[in-house]
Amino acid sequence: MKKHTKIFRLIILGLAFSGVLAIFLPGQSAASNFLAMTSPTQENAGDLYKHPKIKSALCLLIDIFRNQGFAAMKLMATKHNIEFVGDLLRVTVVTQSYSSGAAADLAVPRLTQRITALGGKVETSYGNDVQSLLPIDAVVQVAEEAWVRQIRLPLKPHTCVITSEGVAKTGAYSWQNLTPYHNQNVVKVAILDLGFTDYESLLGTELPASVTAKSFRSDLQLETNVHGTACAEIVHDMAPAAQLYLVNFNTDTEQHQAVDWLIAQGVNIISYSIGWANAGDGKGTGPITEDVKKAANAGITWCSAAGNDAQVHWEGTFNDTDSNNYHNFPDNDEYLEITLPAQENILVSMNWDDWGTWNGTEYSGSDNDYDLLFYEKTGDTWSYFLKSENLQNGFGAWPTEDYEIENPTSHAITIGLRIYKHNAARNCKMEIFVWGIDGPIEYNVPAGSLTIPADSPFCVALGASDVTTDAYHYYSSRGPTHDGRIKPDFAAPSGTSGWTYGDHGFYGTSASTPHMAGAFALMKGKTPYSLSQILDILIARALDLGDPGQDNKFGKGRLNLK
Amino acid sequence: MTKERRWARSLPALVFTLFFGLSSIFTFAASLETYQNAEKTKPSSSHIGLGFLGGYWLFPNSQYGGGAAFGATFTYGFSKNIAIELAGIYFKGNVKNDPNALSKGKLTIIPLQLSLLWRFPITKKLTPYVLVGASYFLNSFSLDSAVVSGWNAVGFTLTETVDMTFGFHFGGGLEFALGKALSAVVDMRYCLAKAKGNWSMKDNKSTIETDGTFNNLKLNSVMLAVGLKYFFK
Repeated sequence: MKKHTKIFRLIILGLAFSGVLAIFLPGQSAASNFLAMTSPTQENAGDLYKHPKIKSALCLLIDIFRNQGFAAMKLMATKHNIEFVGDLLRVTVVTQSYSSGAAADLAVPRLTQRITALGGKVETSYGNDVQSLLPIDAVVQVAEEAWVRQIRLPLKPHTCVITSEGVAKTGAYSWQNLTPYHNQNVVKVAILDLGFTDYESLLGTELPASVTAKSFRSDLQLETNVHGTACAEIVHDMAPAAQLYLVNFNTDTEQHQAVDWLIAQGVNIISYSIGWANAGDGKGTGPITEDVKKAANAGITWCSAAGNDAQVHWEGTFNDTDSNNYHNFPDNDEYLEITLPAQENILVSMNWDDWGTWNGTEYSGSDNDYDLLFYEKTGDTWSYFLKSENLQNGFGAWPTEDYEIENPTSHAITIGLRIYKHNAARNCKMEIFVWGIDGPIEYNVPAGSLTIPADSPFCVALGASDVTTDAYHYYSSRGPTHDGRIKPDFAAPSGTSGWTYGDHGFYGTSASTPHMAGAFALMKGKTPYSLSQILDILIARALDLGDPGQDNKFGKGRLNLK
Repeated sequence: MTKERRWARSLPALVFTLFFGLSSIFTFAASLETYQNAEKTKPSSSHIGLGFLGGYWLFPNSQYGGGAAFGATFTYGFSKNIAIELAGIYFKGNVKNDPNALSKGKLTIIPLQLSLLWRFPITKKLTPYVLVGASYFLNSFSLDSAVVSGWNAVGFTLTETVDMTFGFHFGGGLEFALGKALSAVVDMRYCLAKAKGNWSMKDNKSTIETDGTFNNLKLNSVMLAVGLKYFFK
């Protein structure tokens, strides 16, 4: 009896010792580690690629885990969008199809029991599919169970979302899955544009599930143009976690109100794919660029389109070689010819370098008076039909002339522009934009074709580079500014795909700008850097294209987050 | 995850630890008792003791995960009631990401504890005790390797450290005499400590670096342990 007591005590002692061992195993995964080490079914890594029950992606993970460790395996899983919950891998375990009802009824409970014993967890099941969380080192053991037919990754649904190719081109994809580091900021990005037609139908797919939308138009209509919707799509593609503000306007006054409101909302970034002509001196001053400055002073990063006007721009100093007060283009030609297609409108804008001093509210004005005259050509004869003759007398008068011309006929007509020196003490530097036609216009000068407010030193101005070839788009406006600064600041992808404009249907600096705004939002949402630091980081990472170093097409280079 | 759920998740491990720990000690004790057939006395006057502890480390702060901890003790008894103890304990556990504190990674804590023990023998075998003391926490932190790899892949270097710090602790336990010189111990001690830490992120291309500190990293924790002590008269 005494001997039996001793044996019994020794058995208890042995059991207890194993209990003490268990104490020193790590908390959650203790059981699974212990079982994995003692499993008789464990195979060597080379055979796993041919494991009849495990899909190859999982075999690869197991192989990396065994040869390179857990961290390397998890990194690989992250890269391939394979889900982990904590340290457990989400898989679908498919049980055998039993003809007998009893066997079928037993399969899932047995499997659940086994998975739990291995440190895993069954999340849900349907039919033969058991969605489970497994330690990576338990996958083989589960596969070896008789009632398991297959282990695979869960199938994933795909929404029919069109993602801009610019996301991959700029390296933003690499950023989107990164764990934010010392950052819990929700980044607010405003798309300040002309309209957001159909934006509501895109919520939850091409756009975030919810956005803040507000119209500053006098009619309060938001859905007046699809342009803003397309821009918002790109920002969302680049920075899916960003909170979007869709804000539209139609006039300069409405824009001022909109910008004040965005500042009050605490917006971090503004994406502005809009340009103006005759709205400033091209040196970074004027009422439109004042909004940019105001936003910058409030800590907002303003991304602005350079414009798509390189081929519809002319500039040069007034030159009257024959002393008739009309400007002479090359070869003493006094007419700048434009072909106006049937049923089309064009807007011709002219300004010159006599804006005076900007005091933050208004210019002191021009006292050099020039006029813009319009002629129609019939045969070899020019017939005058219209002129813009604003008075420039120095009392706050802007040095601008403009007119919108319509061709109501069913055939193209040839228009001639003449610049007339009405009352000017000096030969000013003149600039003309022709909006509404494909270029190039006669005597085209691409340099200095930036639209307002891309000339602002307080904005990040964007030129357009082809999303496929990285070539600078011929129409993309370029610097320098009228005070000689290099602009744009960057080039970013254009010719990208989206729901609004279709497959590779969104061209121009309008497409480039939201890529930049999205890049700022993505990096701001992932890192603890300030927006000004992020700008410096993006400058360092920009892909230098075109002329070596900074230039008036690509600026610092093509947007690159990698 | 809420604190309640975290504690609930820790509970099985805790029960597991205590059950097997206690059963092993008492079984071991009973066996020794049989084989030694010796007179049971517990330390009475001045004495020196060496021991080890193994158990479970818990944090009230849900950012930190609990886990196994173990350590060694050196005890000097001035009398049968008063002793001082020097203990070194090792714990390494997971940390969840908190933008205002530590990022995801593993925290290693090695508290060196100097304690004053009051012992209250109630039978020849059983001696409850309470303790209070000061600690010096040797801390180290390693960021989650997957997080680091991900940021390295886009050209950033992360560093994050936790400073060493002083703390306090109090607790109590029960010694169960297994023989003339050997006792089993069940011990619980609550540790209070607040550490400082630093983090930095550096863009390898521009060399632009940003950094920050956290001054209020609460490392308050509980250790539940069992162990053995051997007393040298």
